[in-house]
Amino acid sequence: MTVRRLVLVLCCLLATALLPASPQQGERRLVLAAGATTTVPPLTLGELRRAYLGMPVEKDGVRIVPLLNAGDPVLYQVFLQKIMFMSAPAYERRRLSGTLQGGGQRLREYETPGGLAAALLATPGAVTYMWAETVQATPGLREVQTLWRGRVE
Amino acid sequence: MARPRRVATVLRGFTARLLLGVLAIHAVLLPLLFGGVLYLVERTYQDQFVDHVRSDAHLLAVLAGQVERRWLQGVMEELVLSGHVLFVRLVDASGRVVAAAGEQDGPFREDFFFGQHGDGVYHIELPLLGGEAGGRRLRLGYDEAPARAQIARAWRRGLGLAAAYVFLTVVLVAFWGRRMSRPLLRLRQASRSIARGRFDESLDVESSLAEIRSLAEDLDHMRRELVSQARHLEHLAMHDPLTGLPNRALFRDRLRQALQASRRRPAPFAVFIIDLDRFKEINDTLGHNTGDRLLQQVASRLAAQVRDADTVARLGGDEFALLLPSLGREHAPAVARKIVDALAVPCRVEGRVLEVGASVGVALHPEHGASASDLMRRADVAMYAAKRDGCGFALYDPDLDRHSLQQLTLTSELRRAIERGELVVHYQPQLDLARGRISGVEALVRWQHPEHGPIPPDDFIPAAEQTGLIAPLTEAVLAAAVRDCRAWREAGHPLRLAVNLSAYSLRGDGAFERLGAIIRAGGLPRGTLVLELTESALLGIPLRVMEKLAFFEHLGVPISIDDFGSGYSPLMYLKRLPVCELKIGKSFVMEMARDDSDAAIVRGVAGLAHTLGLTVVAEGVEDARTLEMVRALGCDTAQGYHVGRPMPAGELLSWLRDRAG
Repeated sequence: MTVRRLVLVLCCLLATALLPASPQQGERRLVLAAGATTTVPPLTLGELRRAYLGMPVEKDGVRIVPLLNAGDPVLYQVFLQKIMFMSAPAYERRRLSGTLQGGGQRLREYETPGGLAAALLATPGAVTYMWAETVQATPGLREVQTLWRGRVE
Repeated sequence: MARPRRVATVLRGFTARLLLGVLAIHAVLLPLLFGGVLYLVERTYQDQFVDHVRSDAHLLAVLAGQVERRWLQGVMEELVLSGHVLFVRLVDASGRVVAAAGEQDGPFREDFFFGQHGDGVYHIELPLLGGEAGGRRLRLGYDEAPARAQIARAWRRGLGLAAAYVFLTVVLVAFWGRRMSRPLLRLRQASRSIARGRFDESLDVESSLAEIRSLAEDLDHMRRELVSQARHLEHLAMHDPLTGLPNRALFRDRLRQALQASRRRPAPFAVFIIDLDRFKEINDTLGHNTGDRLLQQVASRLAAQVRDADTVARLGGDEFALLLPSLGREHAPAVARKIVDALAVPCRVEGRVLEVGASVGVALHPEHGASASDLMRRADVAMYAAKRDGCGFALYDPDLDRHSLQQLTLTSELRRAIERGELVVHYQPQLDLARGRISGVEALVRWQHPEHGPIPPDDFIPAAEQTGLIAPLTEAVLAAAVRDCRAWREAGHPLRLAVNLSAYSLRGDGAFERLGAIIRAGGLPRGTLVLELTESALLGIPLRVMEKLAFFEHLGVPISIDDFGSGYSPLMYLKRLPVCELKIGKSFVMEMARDDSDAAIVRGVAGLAHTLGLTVVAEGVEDARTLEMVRALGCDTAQGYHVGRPMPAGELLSWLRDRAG
């Protein structure tokens, strides 16, 4: 490596560090994901909240089956803050009381992406929240809609 | 140096160890417990804060989406005035602030966790919800300080509670530790008391702990066992195991107590010494078991004859003693007679009827002595007087013949002298007149009294014969003489040995056997040992006993007749007995220089002896003239001061060497 090339590399690194980041840099997208073969339509925020509080939601003839993605704590907190508007303990209490009062089934919870993807594929009307890049990297899944876009530091 | 040692001692104590143990356990458990609780409290506060922020922001987003903008500005300012919200910003889809309330410090970085960015503000952004949203977003900054203050307060209270918990634990553990260690300290003191021999102190330890109670019970049990064993040992030390009576030590102790009591309040009392008359014969003849049973019966009889306050003791062997308080001269003889009569009744032992008489000596306090030793010694003297006189009992009388008193005292001490080995054997040389050399010695017993000096045999041999002590005395002398003679022979001096035999020592069963055993054990060649019997003694020997003298001939031990001519013995004995020698008494030999008749007797005895094939020994040769005369009159051997004085065994060898040189 010549001296000139070394100086060039250092200048590039310095410029990268000093230049302000573009608005798009570091942004992440929270999306609603479903199996690629399902016909789950986009849901309103209210429908989504009701579904994740254990209330029955049916849209366009599809009975929505919400699945909890518990593998990523940051993702979970973003979901709670942007979709459910409550803290984790409060959500747990609401889910539990909803299940007990409504007599419905508890939401299924998945710790691993593999298990969650398999459940999405196997369950008609199943939806969950995911980072967009995870959906794109997982075969057989599709984005139903974007739920939130923003920076997570 | 003392302080660190004391600290170390305290740290090794039960309470300190308990405290340290509890503190060590709490050092591990307390952080886990309180730390865990406080962590959960902290998380709860944080979650409550986040829940409040999210729901509050959601409602505001819904509200903002419904109202007009001019109303919204007022709502935003009210929010800031409430104090929970630091700032509110309404931005449009391009990010431009279209409405604002409150001051925002620093950039807006949305939080998803409590304290995520450490700036003390929880930033949250929500889109306006509802028909009037239009892509606008609401940005809010909630103050985290109140939640942090609550958390800090919870930590302070938690730590305070933990400190109080630790303090109370230490106090309670110290209290209970001391409560539990107190019985242990009491046990330690008790065990030390026991180790110091203080067994009588009862062990009283109160504790709620079963282990300590059990330990205390075990220790107390051990203490009781030690008390029991100590009493048993004390009883053994102070009592005769055969009869159960007090022994000599306890009797003397009680006698001393009686003397002390008498000094405080003068009162007479009597001391009886009782000796059984024929016990030795019974013991030797029928065996020790019979003798023991007999002693037990005698003890029972004695105990039955006295009052409860009296003391009956066995001093040893067949000797008993009584201490009779408040007994004076007027009643003592009657009690003594009662004792003698009680022991005169034959005893039935193992199917045999045994007759044992008793001799009782009585000494009275204060007239016969003021000390235990005096009283016991004088009762002993009186007992020997009773035995000698055959009168059953005798009261000590200081006005009796002084010689008799000395003799009686001597006799009582002779028994102990034999036991203690105070008697020694001296040897007087005998000269073979034909060859002119020392051919033998005669063994003569001497008593070296520790207080009175040398006591001549004539003073104690008769007493020994009267009291039966002659048998053990003869056996002791014979054993010593045989042992010495063997030593001389091994040293190159083959001397003949003559030992005097009292007729009394041949009485009683087993006498011949015991003498024979000593002779066999000595291993002297046949004819070396000669037993001398006085002519007068021969007269006292029953015919059946005399016939048994042939027993000695079988052992190679011939008989010599001592003091021949001084008694009235029939010459028939010379034919019947295994006699080898006649010894002419010194009364004839010493006087024959002045009295021709004595010289004639000496010549006649020598002639008779030679005719019968016997040798003749002339005793009492104290000068050269006498020596020449006995040689001329036909005696074979001379003995007397002119030949040599009696001397100890050790001196004899050097004397022989000097003479040979």
